[in-house]
Amino acid sequence: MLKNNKIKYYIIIIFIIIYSNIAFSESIQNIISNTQLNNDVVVYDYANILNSNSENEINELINSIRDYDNGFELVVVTNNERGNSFEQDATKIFNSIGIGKKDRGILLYITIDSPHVRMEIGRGLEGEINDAKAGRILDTYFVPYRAQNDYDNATTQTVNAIYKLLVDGDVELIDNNENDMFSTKEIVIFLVLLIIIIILSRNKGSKKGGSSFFDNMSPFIWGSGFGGSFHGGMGSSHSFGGGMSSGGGASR
Amino acid sequence: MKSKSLKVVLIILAIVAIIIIYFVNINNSLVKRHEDVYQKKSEIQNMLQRRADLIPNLVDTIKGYTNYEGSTLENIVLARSGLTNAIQSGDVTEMANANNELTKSINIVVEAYPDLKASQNFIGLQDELAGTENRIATARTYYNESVQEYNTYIKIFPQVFFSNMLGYESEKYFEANEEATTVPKVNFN
Repeated sequence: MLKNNKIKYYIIIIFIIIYSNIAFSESIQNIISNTQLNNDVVVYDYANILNSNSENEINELINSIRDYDNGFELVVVTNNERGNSFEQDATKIFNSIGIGKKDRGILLYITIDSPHVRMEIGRGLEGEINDAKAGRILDTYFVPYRAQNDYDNATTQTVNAIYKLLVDGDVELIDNNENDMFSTKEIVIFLVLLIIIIILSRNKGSKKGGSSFFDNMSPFIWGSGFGGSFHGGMGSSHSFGGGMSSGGGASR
Repeated sequence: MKSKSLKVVLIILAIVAIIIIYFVNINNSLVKRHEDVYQKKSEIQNMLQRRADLIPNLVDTIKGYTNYEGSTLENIVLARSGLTNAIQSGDVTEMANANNELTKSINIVVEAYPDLKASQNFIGLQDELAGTENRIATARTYYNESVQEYNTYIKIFPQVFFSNMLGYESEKYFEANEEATTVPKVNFN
């Protein structure tokens, strides 16, 4: 009995040590895991530089853009440490969250200790906002405010500029109906496959010996797990559209 | 007796069927993974080409400077054609090397004309160049991950038997074989 308690004690200590290490580090992995738990949040202010007014304003702007472009999504992440792979971190975060439907997403990744900002543009928006334009937006709306340590205005003005560019400027608008059909089609295909699998597995009982239909379905099972690392090995995103970035955008 | 031999036949048929399905599944997996490697490689080729396409713009911007020297641009033009050749070859080592060479020659030119940074033309071009470099880095990461998965898959048991039989060989990683092990980032500062 006494030995059992000692073992439990050590196990708890080890867990506390491991957990406390994980809790204190602002790792990219941490950021990614947390964003996948919070479905509707679009501002992840780990560096605590934005007030709630800014978050509200950003949300409103995003909703206004979505009135015109239903699949659009924008996420803001702030981090204390810049680390060694700033651009790659931004791409990793973008692709793990999966921002925007049809790759129409933007990530604003802001670091404080070595002040940097990256506007990562999803593949679907590269036509409207190319790398040079992204850089010019940051130069005009983000950098001046950041120079005064005003991250609230820096962020909200940048998102506002994106709004103006996408809504008032030359923009290819996605029809609302088109988006609905896209997801409806997916659902229909999935249901049909599901029904086929159910029917096939029902027939298994009535066959005598020989190969069962369940063996035929094993390729589907074995085929899964292939290509999982494309998204950085993370699970599927929840309410975000799943859009990808190819690494494009600009940093300042 | 008759029913017993019938049972045996059915069991044998079942085993044969399972083996065939297993083999088919492995073959399909091999095909898929191999195709994924090539798809990721063509993404790298696209991004490298995108970078190469920016170079004429860079050359023109520099030519706009009254005190430019023709010789400093020669290297960059040469490096660019080296890159386009490497892209066409499809060989990832050649591509990685050529990409590094182009980076070096861009660095040399940019350092030779520090006033470029004041030019509006150049700032936009700078963002585009930095953007393509990041895209190349991203495409390289995805490609190398895909190669790692594929190379591992064809070597482990039991696929290893089938992959040899079907002629699947290891693919190369995208990495330069020159002295630099990391791609030097273009330094505009």
